[in-house]
Amino acid sequence: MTPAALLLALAILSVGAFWIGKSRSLALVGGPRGVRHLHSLPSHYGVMTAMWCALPALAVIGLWLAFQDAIILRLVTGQLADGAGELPANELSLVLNDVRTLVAGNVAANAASAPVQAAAAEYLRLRGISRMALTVLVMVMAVCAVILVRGRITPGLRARNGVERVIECLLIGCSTIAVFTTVGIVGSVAFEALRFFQHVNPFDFLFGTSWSPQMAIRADQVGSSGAFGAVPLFAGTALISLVAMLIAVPIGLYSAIYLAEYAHPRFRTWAKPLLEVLAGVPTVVYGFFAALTIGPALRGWGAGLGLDVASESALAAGLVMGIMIIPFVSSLADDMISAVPQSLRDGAYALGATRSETVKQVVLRAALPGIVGGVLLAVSRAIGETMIVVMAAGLAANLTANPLEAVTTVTVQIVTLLVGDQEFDSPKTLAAFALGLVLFLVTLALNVLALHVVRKYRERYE
Amino acid sequence: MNRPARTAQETQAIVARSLRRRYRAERRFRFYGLAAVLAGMAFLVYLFAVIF
Repeated sequence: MTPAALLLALAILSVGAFWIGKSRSLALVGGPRGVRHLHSLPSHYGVMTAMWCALPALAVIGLWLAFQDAIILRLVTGQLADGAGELPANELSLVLNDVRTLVAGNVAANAASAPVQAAAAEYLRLRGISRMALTVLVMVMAVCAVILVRGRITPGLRARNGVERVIECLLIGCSTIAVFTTVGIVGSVAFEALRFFQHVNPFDFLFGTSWSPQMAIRADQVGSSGAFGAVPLFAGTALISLVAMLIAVPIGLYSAIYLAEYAHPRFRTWAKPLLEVLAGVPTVVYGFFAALTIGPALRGWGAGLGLDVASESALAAGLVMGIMIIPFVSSLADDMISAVPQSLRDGAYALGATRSETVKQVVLRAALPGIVGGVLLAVSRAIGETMIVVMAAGLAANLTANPLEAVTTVTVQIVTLLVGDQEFDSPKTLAAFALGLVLFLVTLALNVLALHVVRKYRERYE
Repeated sequence: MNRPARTAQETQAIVARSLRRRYRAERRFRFYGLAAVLAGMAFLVYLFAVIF
């Protein structure tokens, strides 16, 4: 049987095992009326039987398939060596590759040489034997397990505890995988960044003001020494994020207040989803919106006012990014405002406050931690946003505080450094990982800060 | 409380003096909120107008 068919058979066997375990436990106590004499529910006995049927068999299948290919290749190699004499290691791996492609059926059989064809036939024969053995072993194991477990089921057997321990292990395994994935991502970025810092002094990177990441390919090349001062990139990111937040925070906050406190319920049911559509627009659409519509429009207005606006100005990118973040701020703030208990508002009204005074002096103060947390999350999104700035912001590093000029950001530089075919041993490419590490650390710090603010200053009213 | 309590008329007079200003602030605040919601929708409409 192929592994897939074997797994299917095992699944069918497990379903059968579930019914055997369940009906056995019921039979022991004389039908459904006797369930109260059982330690666990009948389905727990069923699940326990199914687990004993499937889990050891799955472990055997996994181990077997992990080692099968290597062992068969070793055997085939021995046969090849007898036929063709000793081969150097690299040629041997080429021949084995031929064998593999032939086995997979990617090459017409007559295109390969005779020893390779023989080896492929041998490989197929050995794999057939191995699969047969595995099938027999797994089936015997599964059936024996079911029979043994069925014999051991008694009304006092603590099936539920065992089943729940297995489920618990499964859950721990899942969370461990998630954690280790994160650790792996951070580790891969950090190690590449370390390699970058072997070429470039970290202080020059963090505090240098000149960014031109071109490295000389030949030693005699002129004018491409490479400068990796990342301050212009951080400044550009900060400038664009600042513009974005200046748009998103007032509009988002005021719309949240209006929708939560003033709006008629009918208006609210229309307006809230419409605003949230803004968050559902793909960032690449926002990108060309900024690059093709807002940027040129701003330059035209600027020319009308006698201002010199770059067509890829920080203002255009920040404006569009701000529009994108509006629903993010407004829905978070809306949730926080709605969570403030009505009794606080009633108290303020009773003292004679108008609605706006109530909002400003009572509701916003009670909701402040949540709002601050939401704004910090929005900032970390603005800093990490890529597509809009790639399309609408500049590529040349420019240290300026003027939002009408073109600036570049950390994310834009990471994209330009890594697009296309790259050598992964030059500081130019490795700089992207150092930038990514800084970006990661900044957004992580903002997220931790936001969560801390929310948790520490949250008011509980119940 | 060592000051004598204000009569209801006095209190009403104090409140009435600032009431017009407070109601204006109320209307202004409400208008800002509505303007923000409409601005968000205007961005959405403009975005779709540009796309189509």
